[in-house]
Amino acid sequence: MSPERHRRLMELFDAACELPPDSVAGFLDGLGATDGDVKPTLAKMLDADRRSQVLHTSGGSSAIARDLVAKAMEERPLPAQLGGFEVLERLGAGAMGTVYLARQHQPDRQVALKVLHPWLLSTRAVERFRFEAQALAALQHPSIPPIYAVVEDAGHLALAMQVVRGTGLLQWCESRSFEERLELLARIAEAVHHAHLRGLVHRDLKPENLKVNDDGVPQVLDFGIAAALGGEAREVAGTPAYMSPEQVQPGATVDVRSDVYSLGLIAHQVLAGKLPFTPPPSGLQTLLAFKATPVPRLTALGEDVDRVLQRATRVEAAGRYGSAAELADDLWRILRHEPLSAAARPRTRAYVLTRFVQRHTVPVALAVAALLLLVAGVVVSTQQYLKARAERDRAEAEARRAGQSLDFMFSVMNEANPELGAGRGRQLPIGEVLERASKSLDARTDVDPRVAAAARTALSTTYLGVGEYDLAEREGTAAVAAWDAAKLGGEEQLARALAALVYAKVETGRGGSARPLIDRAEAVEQLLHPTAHLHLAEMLNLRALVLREEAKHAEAALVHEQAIAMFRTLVPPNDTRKLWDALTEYGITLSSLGRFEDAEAAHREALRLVVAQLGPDDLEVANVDHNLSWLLDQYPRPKEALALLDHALEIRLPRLGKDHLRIGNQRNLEAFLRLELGDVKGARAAMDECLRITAQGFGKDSPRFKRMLEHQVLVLTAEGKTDEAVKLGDEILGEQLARRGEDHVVTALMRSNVAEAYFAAGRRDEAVAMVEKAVAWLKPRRNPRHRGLTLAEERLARMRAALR
Amino acid sequence: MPLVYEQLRALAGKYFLSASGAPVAPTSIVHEAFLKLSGKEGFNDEEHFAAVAATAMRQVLVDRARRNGAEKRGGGWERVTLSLAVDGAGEQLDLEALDAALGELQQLDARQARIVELRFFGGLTVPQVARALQLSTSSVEKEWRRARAWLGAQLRK
Repeated sequence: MSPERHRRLMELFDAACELPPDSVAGFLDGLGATDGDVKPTLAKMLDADRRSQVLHTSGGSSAIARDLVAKAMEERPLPAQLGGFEVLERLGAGAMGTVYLARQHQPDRQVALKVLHPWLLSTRAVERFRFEAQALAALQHPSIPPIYAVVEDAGHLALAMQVVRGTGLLQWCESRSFEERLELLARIAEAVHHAHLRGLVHRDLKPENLKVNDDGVPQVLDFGIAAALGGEAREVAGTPAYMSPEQVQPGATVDVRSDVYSLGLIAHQVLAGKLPFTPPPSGLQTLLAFKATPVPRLTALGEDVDRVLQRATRVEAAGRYGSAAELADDLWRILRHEPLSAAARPRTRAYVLTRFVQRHTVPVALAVAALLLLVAGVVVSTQQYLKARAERDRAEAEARRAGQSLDFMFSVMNEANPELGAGRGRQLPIGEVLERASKSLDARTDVDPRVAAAARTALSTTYLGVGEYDLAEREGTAAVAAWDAAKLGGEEQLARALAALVYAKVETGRGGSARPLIDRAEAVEQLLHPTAHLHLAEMLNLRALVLREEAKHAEAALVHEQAIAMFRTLVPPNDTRKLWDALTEYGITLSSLGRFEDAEAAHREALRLVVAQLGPDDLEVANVDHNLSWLLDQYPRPKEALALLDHALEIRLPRLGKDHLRIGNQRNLEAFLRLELGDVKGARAAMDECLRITAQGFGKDSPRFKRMLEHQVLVLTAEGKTDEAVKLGDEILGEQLARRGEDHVVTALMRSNVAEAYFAAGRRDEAVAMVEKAVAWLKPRRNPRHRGLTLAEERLARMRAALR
Repeated sequence: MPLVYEQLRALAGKYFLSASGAPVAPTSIVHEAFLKLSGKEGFNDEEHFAAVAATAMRQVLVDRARRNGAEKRGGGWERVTLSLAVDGAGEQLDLEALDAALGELQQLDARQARIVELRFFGGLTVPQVARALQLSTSSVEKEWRRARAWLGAQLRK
């Protein structure tokens, strides 16, 4: 044949290809004398082309493999029945076989029938197929579909497996949060590890092989090319984009760490939305890129995520996690805000500390910040002394103190760290962490008195921050004593300790004994700051709180106004925090006076300031919402109050997590509001959350937990569990009486609430007497609009009406 | 070119001696050769390398097939998987026949022969072939389909 005839042949071929299949024969027959010479070749070409039609994709080797599969299957159609399975439809094809949906009759169920490609039947793929069946049968894991049977029939070899219905990995992740994705990845890694332990390496992990079933459980599919651990693994097989460097290297050992690499790439794709490498057009480039290039850093999702991904995808297998379980472990750690395993990152003290603080959120952060400030203060002054080259001895003493502060801080943190200290293996409630810090201060005599005093001050303010006022008072008292004992310096700190102590006393209802303390604190501040100063304004604010506690509300309001006036002139316009704090306290005092409208104005000004400075979604907005909600409950405007709380929750939940103490607090108020609105179910849900969070943070014996139980009594009553409610009410009222006696507002309010349970339990006369007693205490002491009082009065009227 | 050839020969030998009859894609051999040679012979671009190596790879494979055929005709020589699949997937390709057919095609349409060489032995995709030969993707696509069908027809004679 000449090049000219070849060209003509090609033209005819092109033309024939355009024809519908049933016209081709006619076309061939119609070739006249001029083209008759090429007719036999053309016929053969069209035949070859028809049978390889699927081949003319432009894909790389995997597309070709797929095509080979399709072609092989085309040539050997599956019988309608295979080994007792009725073949229903073709689901897809992989490197090893084609998957069909089939029906088994005994038991009657649908199965996935994975039929080995017939053209592989004579190769060692058969061995591998049998091995796969054996190994898969040994797996029992919710994320690995079980195998039902091995089928050998009519020259076919097949596996019958569970049908997996669900969503593809990437699609599932589209609508899921970062945390949910992390969790899913961790579960997948665990499932893969399960298979590893039984000698199966997947070797073709990719999103297409990962599904999430309708119960949200990830499914790892197609252990199709798994090879025995340590067995011969020379074939270059897998999906290029997810293959490990050693899979590309013929003859290299492929072990579990190859799957770790693939998991790392999948994690990258799922978390960052794309693979670290842009998908290369051909196998060749892909393999080269994997071989030569380390996976780029991904810092956008935080340092830990980056570390884990880097560790999973090191080019050298020896640098990776040793197992998928280790990868899973670190993913869980990120979720729990724990430090990564030592494998993933060097465990510096600062790093462990950071993660520790993240895990325990606000309180420990406060303590650590306080301690760090202290250390920083000491260090700075040390440098100043050194610079002056004077008082060398004193400088050394300062340096020693700084070292001690650090050591002390770390000893406390390590003690509390579940991985390092005595609490190994469990999470300590925050209360216990602080308690241990306090105890170790008691026990240690080698600590410099100034360090001890500063630590006590920090503990005291931390307890304040978490609402443990009794303990804050105890530590504050110890701090003041320690500063007195230290004798030299520390006036600022002493003033802070005094202020914390005053605040704690105010909160515990012992504000009456705070008068000398606030006088002293104010004196110290005046010594330090002779003219108008923020600290002085703070002392005024605190004095107002003491007055409020002494029930001198009108006087308190006046002092509040002085404090606010001073804050207005002193706070910088870009940081009005102290002003809005003072406004909030002022609002609370005004509501005690029954001046709800003025109180609302103060709260709303605070809200405006917060939003102006921090934006509408800041946590501080939630705090003001919470306060305003409490105020609206006084009016009472429970619906608006609840809406504000919902808004606060919307802000807090994603930032603080559902276990945060502030959320526990707000759930408590929410439970009460929902009861008022008649939503008993909602109240129960809120109450359960409140109790769970508080118990987790402080334990069930803490005074804080007991305080939450007051609303629990009301919820139980509303639910009709009256016996339980009465029992609990007796318990908490007894404790309250023992703690604070009759002459306390909380005692009166609690009695009024517990009476509700009594009344519902049929002990009506007792109930009425209790409410009467509460009203008798409240009426002369609180303004007529006091919500506790109006509630008690309404209650009394209701009970009396029912008795009549 | 000699270095490429030697390298491919050595690698192919290693594959075939060790792989106990398992299928081997020439692509992986070419790739490994590139990894070993990249930077040395001025090959920084794997497409360029693959284009050069395709011819050498063809020689290596056909030489081996010839030698094997002479030594143990009838015995199962090392399988080579090619992305040809025109003559029944899974059946072993007669490489000598393929080589002969390719030689004939070269006389009839050198460009078609070159495309086949790059696709089969160099492991290049259609777009890569298009870049290497400075043709449009659609014309490579078209010529590839023609050449594949023609080879299929020749090999079924």
